[in-house]
Amino acid sequence: MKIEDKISKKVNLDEDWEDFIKEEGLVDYNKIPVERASVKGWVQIAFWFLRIYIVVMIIMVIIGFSRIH
Amino acid sequence: MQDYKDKLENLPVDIKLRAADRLKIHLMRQKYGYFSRLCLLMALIGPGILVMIADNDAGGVMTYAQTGSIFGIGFFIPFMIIMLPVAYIVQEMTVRLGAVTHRGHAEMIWKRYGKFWGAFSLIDLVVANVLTLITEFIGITLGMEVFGISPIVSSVTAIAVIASIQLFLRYFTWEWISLSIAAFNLVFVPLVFFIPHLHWGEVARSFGTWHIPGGVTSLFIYVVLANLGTTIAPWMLFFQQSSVVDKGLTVKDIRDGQIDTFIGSFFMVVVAIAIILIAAGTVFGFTHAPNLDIQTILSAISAKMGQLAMKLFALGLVEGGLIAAIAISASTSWAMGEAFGWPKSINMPPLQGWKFYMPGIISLLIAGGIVLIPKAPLGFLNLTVQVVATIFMPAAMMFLLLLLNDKEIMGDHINKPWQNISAFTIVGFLIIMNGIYGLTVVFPHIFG
Repeated sequence: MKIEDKISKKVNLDEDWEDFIKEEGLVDYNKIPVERASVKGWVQIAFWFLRIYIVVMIIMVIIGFSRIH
Repeated sequence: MQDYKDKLENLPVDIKLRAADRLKIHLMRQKYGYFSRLCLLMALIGPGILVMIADNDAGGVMTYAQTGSIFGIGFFIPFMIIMLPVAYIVQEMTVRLGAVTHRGHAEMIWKRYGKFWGAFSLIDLVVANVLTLITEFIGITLGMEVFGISPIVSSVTAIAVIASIQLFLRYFTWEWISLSIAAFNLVFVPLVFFIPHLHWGEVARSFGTWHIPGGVTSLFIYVVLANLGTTIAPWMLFFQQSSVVDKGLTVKDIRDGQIDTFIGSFFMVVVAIAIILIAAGTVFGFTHAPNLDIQTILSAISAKMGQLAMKLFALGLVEGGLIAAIAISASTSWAMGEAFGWPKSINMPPLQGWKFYMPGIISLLIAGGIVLIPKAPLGFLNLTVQVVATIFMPAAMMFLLLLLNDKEIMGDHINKPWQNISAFTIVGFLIIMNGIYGLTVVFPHIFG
């Protein structure tokens, strides 16, 4: 066996070019749509928590900044 | 090789340039042996180290210096060690998400959870990034003043350097130049050995005692929260994921991405500890002012450790601002490109990618210009950036955790139970602390 064969596997990109493109993610992902996630169960609860958190924080910020000025 | 070049020509420009790099990685991966493995790792590391070193930004340097000045080493040295797994666990998730989906954080939020949350995240990120950039330019101009360079010269030079490397270089070159700049962050480490009367035994004992000088006060809570806020910032999630995507990492590279993130977390903590030690050794115990400015700290370093040490510290401050400005402006460009579906890669030539580069460069011009305005309300802007980050951080974290638990997109790379337990604990703690931080920023006397 040649030394080159011992240190490297043979890669035939001529034959496996499409596999290489796919494996390495070399496609235009802007053209591949992403489906909307279904928001239900604990995810829905998390979203409600987030909305409440944001509203409370914005109210605090308004109060805080009105005191500064 | 000519055949491959012909095949690459058929791909869109940004993908074509990335494909050339991935072809090299692909060929490297076929080779066996420790040296080849090391070469592959060296080629794949970058986003993790960059994001973590950029986290030791000008604001971070100031925060660590103030921490050491006010509280010494008693509590905050062991505290910073704990920040290593915290930073690693959060940022590692962005590596997996980017490598599996090949999409940035902004794009995933926008497309998976709708336009409202996408726009909310994007607006918050862009506003927080512009405001954070202002603090970076403050650090750059203050640091350069030590070398006798006027703010206008340092600000314009910084904008020119950052914009040039982003516009005219390919991703890999941009990354290596950024990493070379990031290496200057280590300038703080050798300075530790020149701290007068530093007792390493005392440093070691701090791990057993976790002593808080003055006890738990509102100032102590504020400093803990400021350090937490410095360790994990919203832009970091967006930056590392987009960087992983632009570099073209795939699921095969996740292990190397994790090593990269760990190395970055390690250096981030080492540098943070070095800054705390320097400030503790030179300023702690000599003043009781809670709001020490950086000039006071630089003067103390100059008096105790000499002019050279002070200049190296100032150089570190400039480097912190510069590397963070590079990362933050890139994260703004990536996020805008992801949200609006533009071709988005640092590989893009300037004319073909002008839409992608524009947001980052505009944010640099705004920040670099504002620091030059005489009597600009910089304190108010600093307060606003903290508030925006406080509101935004839980949202960014929540989306990260939702996406990492989304079997449809993550497949086998979904969070494992132990990863969820640690991540939810950290995120829950950060949300509570962020809430309290927001309270202390808005109502400074809430804890008495």
